[in-house]
Amino acid sequence: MNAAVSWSIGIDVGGTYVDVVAVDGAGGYRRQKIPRIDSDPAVSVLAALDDSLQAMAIAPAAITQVAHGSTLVTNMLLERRAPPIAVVTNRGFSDLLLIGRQNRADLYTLTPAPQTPKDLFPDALRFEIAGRCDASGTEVEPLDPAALTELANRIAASGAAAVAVCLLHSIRNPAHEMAVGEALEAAKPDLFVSLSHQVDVAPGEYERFLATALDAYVKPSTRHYLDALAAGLLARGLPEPAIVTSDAGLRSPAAVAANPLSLALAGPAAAMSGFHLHGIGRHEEPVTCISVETGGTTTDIGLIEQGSVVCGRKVEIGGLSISLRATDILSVPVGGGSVVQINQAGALRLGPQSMGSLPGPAAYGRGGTLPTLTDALVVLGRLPATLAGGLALDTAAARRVMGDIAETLGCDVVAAATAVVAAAATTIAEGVKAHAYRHGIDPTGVRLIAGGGGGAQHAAEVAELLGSDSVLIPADSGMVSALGCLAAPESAASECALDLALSDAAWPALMKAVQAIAVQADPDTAIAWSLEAVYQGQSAALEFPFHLDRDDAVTLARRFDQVHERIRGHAFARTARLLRLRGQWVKRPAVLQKTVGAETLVTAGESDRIGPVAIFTETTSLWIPAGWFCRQEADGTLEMRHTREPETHRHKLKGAA
Amino acid sequence: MTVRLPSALMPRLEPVRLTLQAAADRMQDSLIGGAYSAIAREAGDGAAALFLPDGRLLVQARSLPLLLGSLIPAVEAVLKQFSAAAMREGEGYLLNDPFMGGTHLPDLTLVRPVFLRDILIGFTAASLHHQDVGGITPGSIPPHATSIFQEGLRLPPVQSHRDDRLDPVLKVLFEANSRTPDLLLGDLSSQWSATSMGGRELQQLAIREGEYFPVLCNALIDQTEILTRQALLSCPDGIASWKDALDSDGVGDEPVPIRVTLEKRGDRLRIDFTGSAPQTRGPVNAAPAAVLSAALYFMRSLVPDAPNNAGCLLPLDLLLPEGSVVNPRWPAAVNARTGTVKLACNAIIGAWSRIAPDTAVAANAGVAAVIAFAGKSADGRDFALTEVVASGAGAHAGGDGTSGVSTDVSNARNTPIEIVEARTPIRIEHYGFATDSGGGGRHRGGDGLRRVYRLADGSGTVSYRGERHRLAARGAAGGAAGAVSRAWIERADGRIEALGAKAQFEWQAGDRLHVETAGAGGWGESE
Repeated sequence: MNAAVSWSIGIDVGGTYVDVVAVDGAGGYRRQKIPRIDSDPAVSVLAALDDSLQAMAIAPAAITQVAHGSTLVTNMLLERRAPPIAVVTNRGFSDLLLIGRQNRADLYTLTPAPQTPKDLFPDALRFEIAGRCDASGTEVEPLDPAALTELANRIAASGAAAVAVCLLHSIRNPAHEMAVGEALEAAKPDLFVSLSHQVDVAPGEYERFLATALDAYVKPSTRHYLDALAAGLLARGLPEPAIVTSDAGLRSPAAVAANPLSLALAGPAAAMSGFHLHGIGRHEEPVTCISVETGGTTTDIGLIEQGSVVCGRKVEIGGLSISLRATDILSVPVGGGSVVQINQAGALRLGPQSMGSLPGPAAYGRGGTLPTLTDALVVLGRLPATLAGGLALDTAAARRVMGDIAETLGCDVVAAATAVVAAAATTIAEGVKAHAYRHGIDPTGVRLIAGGGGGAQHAAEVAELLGSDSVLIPADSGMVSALGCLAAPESAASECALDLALSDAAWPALMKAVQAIAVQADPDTAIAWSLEAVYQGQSAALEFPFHLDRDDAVTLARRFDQVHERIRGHAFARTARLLRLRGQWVKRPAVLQKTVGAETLVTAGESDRIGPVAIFTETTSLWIPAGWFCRQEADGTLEMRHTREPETHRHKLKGAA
Repeated sequence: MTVRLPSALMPRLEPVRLTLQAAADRMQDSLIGGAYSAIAREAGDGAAALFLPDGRLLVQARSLPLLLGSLIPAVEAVLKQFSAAAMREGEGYLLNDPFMGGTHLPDLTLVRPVFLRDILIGFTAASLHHQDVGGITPGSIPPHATSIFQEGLRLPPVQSHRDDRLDPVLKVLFEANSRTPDLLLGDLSSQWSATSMGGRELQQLAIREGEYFPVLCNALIDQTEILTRQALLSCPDGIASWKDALDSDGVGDEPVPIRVTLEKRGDRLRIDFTGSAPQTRGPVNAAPAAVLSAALYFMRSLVPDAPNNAGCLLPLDLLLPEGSVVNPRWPAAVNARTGTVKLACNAIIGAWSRIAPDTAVAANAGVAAVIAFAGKSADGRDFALTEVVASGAGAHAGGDGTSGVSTDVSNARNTPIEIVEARTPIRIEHYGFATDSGGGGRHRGGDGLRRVYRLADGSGTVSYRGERHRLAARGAAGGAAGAVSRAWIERADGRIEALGAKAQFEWQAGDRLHVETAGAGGWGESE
């Protein structure tokens, strides 16, 4: 082994496997998929790492970088089994988190659920403190030191391990939140504390307080995990890990431990980071790509524009709507385990209930008795006899459960299975259209990237429905998240809340905000600036780039008008109001700048295949519909293409017409 | 009973349903995203739908329940005035007349015929709450109106667009009648874009499905009808009434009773509002298109899984006595219909809880108090703010009602305190649940909300439009009623002045406004 070779390691932890990839600077690529042992999360990752390094024959001393993607925080928010936290609000506002925005998510239910689940912060753990700042940040009622001490002692005695401090207008004047934080630190140094002005910089108390409460909620476990992981790596002579965050960047463990909510969407972010390599480098010009990743329960739809993963500010997890900068993913309820049902009118429905992978589809032979999307695919001969993980499919069981469906529908079993698969493709395609339109993207011109266990099964049919004629299936798509860890740059960002009418008069204040952010980056670093704005009277902001070197109030106003027109159909004849400034910079570029991997076709003699045909690879299975063909490129990527000219009846976007 | 369809078409049915719903929802996104009017944009007060050539609802977007089905009478009215056979591509039809298919005057409804190779394949329709359509007060929702003529420009069904262009005569009429003509024309263009986009999607779907498209559409309406009938069949037969009342009509001080009788037999339901108050002088009258939403919302709650189309109306007989507060005669004022529709909806839910107590839900508190502040701060700047305070949701067999939530036909969000305090000299001193205002029972009704405002500096006026200051939301299956709403002013010198359900007053720096919205009904006897 050449001692001069240095390796970078990407480790992604999923529900069943720990995926490990290693790349060197010279095109070397190794990978391992290790079943996850049922243990403490850090222990299971370290064990998988030991096994992989041995199997890949890489010495710890040759490793210079470790990048890690974890679903720990996502799972905590989904399962909500962590102990409740304490919350401190101003006097008179302890119910605020429970009230939320007083609207309901399900418009048509007679029995709306509470917007925020009470079990996260029960009555006994919600505390109030007198003292108040106004909207300009001026203190209008001071904190009482004696009351502060008393409050801190009560919280220290409450048994809560973490505290969220949520005070009104703290983003304008953080002094009261800091004072509460210090009192808590003095009363019980091992308390985990989240202060709202450090979680988000924007006004709008409920969204900021909820994010702060959830940040506190996941803090103790995240800290424990990161400490154990870092200690384990250190003991092996490995470097400190960089952690993938929800916006598809890498951060230091210290940064993540201080703001663990930033991991809420880390899993999909790592996958999007892996997919985004297919939107750059491959062709001269970056093309708009839409990723379609179908798993057992849902299909995640993501966007890549100008070679970058598209981020948003809202994350939906387990019924919670969280204000957080994260890759903008739309999840639709279609996966291999989605259950097929016939309703009382004899009509077919697919999902949203899912059998997942355990017991899973009937064809898995693990006790699942309900028909699923996978069973329909088995009936149609679109899956191999044995899945990539070694699971043999029970065709007879699939035909049996789908036969019952066919009988109820009054058709043969193939027609019933066809109906199920058509419903799956339609649901995904409609989700893609909705997501694309919301970002002002015309889905007919995009390239689809298929991933997950089932993405390549449905992607060509989805593309057909969209009027798109190309689908990429990345080589090693089962490793896309681990590769994504290495495709993410180590980045940093800072934001500043504004409330400025966009005009020349705003410039001094805007430049002051720019300065406050710029001093946080190294002097020679290139900072990518962006602004969020609304027209006077609107609440939903739109983000657009800010070119510090050449923009003025006029060019910024014009750019906002253009973005508004692209996304919402027109520009208002009104003044824009700037709400937020963001600066983002790269501290270290990503290790991976182009795709790597290899994919061996199991069934194909030649690399070009013409549909209708199913193609099986080592890790996934593809469906090439009639009118499509498939070819493999040098880097292992498979591409499905339409053989005809694309349909002429293309969607025209509002504003583009 | 199941939908009959040739076996070869079976695989196509579900994709058609999915695409129709998604296309309607995208129309809605486009309509609301592109809206200029604050109420449309921020509260989602707009609706989009697709119709068959004969005027039957094919699919409606997921919009506010307040507007569910409200486009049906509009399309019917257009088809009554204009021959479908004479319609052409690129045309549009517009109306807002509450006595001819409209809801209230600010809601302009646009209907666009859609053609494929010169054959009419359906209509797309979009309505939107406009900022101002004239009348005696800015915003065109005058709280003291006693006649439609005070409420703004009334538009019976007219042809508005030809060759994809707005009729120039209409354009000058709008410019002359609206206080904010630019916003009106901008919103109308957003409606035109949405109906055009929906039209393209309908054309693409018709091409995709080919000659059997009409068969599949009919099968979807059958599917909804069957699901609705099955749901009714599975409930007990019975007849039950429910009586409730608005605190006032906004002009006088007398309560306005709403009475509904539900008669459920087999797979049919009759909803009869006979016994409700005669039409009122004040503007709380609700046009039929507005009341239909309450009935449809209830029907949809029976079968949430059903396609959102005309099929759910087929098992329903809706009786709205002429000349009553739920079907007023010209020239009644109708702009403040929301409270009436909310109460009508609640009354239907209440009557149903007597027919099917095991599965029913107790009455919501049914209050969305609207508070409008205006004035000058100490530094001389004008301020204006309107906000909505919600109340409680009814308890049910499965558990307690949720507290402090927008219920039934409306879904208003609160205004963040940090925004209120940044834009006005008002300071909010308390925001929480109105503790123990929900009715007791085996399951408790949801509590209302308590919000306390103090004017920190300057002076101004406050318009308070509450509800349920007199009659509480009753319980179901033996549960107790919720507490009533309360509001009062606490002057800087300590004097207390109680407020009725509708009040307007001046306040000065140091004065406080206390608002407590009603609690919802409880469910089941306490143990």
